[in-house]
Amino acid sequence: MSLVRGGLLLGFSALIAKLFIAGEIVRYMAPTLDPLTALTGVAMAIMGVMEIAAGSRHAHNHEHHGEAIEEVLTCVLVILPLGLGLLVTPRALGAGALGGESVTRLLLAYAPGPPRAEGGTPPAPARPIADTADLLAYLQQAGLSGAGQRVRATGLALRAEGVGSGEFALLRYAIAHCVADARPLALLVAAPGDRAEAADQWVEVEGVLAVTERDGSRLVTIAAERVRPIPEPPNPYLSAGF
Amino acid sequence: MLQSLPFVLIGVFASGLVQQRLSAETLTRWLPQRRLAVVLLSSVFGFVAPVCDCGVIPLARRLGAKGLPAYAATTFILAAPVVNPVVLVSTAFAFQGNWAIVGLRMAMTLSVAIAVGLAASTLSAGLSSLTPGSSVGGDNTAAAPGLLGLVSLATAEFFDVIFFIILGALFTAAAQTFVPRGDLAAIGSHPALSVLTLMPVASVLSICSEADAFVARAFAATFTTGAILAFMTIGQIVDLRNGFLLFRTLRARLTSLIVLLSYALVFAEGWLINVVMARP
Repeated sequence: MSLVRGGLLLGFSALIAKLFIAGEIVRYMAPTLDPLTALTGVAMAIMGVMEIAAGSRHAHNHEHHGEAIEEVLTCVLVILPLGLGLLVTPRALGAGALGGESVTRLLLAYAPGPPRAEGGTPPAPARPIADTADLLAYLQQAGLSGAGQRVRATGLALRAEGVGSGEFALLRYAIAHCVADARPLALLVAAPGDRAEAADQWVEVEGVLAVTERDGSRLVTIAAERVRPIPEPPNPYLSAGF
Repeated sequence: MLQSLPFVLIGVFASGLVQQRLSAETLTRWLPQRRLAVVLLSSVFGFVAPVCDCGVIPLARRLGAKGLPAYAATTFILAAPVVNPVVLVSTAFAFQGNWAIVGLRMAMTLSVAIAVGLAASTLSAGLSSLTPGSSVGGDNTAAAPGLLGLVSLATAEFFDVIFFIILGALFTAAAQTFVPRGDLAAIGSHPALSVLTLMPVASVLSICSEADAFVARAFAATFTTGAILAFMTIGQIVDLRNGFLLFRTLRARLTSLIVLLSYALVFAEGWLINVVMARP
């Protein structure tokens, strides 16, 4: 059984190595955990090699019948996720992962506060707004006074109940550590005349920050000037700091 | 599951180190005479023997076989999976350094473990923690000294727990995929119903104490703080996975006491936390 155990430990190590080499680890875990995960892969490889070496030294290790059944059950259950992880290319969470959650409840709204004085200009962003993470950082910095700022954001285009015609929601997931704790958030995009995107299609939106008054909330809105389909970005998740 | 692996490894290596370096005889020799002192000491024994819920019962059985009273073993079984440095650090990590959650989790677990331990001391004073006729078979603490022995112990413990970790991950993934979040959100904000809902979920999921905080964190957006804490507390005390082993190790009366008293106390504490937090 030591040989099987050693093989499974090496399998875990191989899975972690494959996820790093193929750049797929970001579809499961936050990049902050990369060092710990890599260290785990190395430790499991060492454990696997030592277990196999121990097994070859004690090849005649007899186990009780009950223990053997437990060992076999464990191996079968371990092989399942290992095999899937090694053979299947993971997909990032899409609209289906919302689990029936209403998109309108996910739309970001401005924090209460006075609007910018008429004729004024929005405050300059601390860093260029090249993607959704930059945009969210800018919204934390400027709030409602950021309306009018030119922005760029990426996400999944989602047309859903409660989102008007000529609008769609730009959906992203934020994770703290792994996809098990993924939290969805969405930005309203006003794109009159824009064609409907396919389900779970990633898009890049360029436009100007605006405000949409709806149901007593002032929704963060991107008045789109350009919407174009793009491939899924290398890291599809935002940091849970947002 | 991937995310819990580093913490499971830390746990099995720490456990292996304790099993390799500390003998049960030495530990039991340190036990005081008074029951209250024994219960209190047993409740924090996890700091010396940082085993997760997957490894605590075998260790308690071994300590019981060395003469540790049943109520002390019970207190240790209930407290050690949470009140140990590995699990407290992993909880802080999962909740992004929220030490209030860590403190409340430890306090809830300690209160339940001490209460059940004291109750058990009046019911089963002087009893061995092992039921008559059973034995601590397959003592796997004996291992070669040094690094080889440590890795061997850690590997053995890893394969003792990984089955249940994967099973828990499958249950969790299925729950997250198939249970509509809208329905959970409606229950999850109620101060009492949220606690009552997550407690049996924790018992069924039976997630390892080194990983359950990460699962609880996923519920944090939907459920009350009291429910999250109740999930992390009861899940390490009454769970499907260890239930059979607990019943086999302790007497039926003691096991029933643990289940009933723990559920009542954890619910009351979870609900109380929600009520206090809801106050302006």
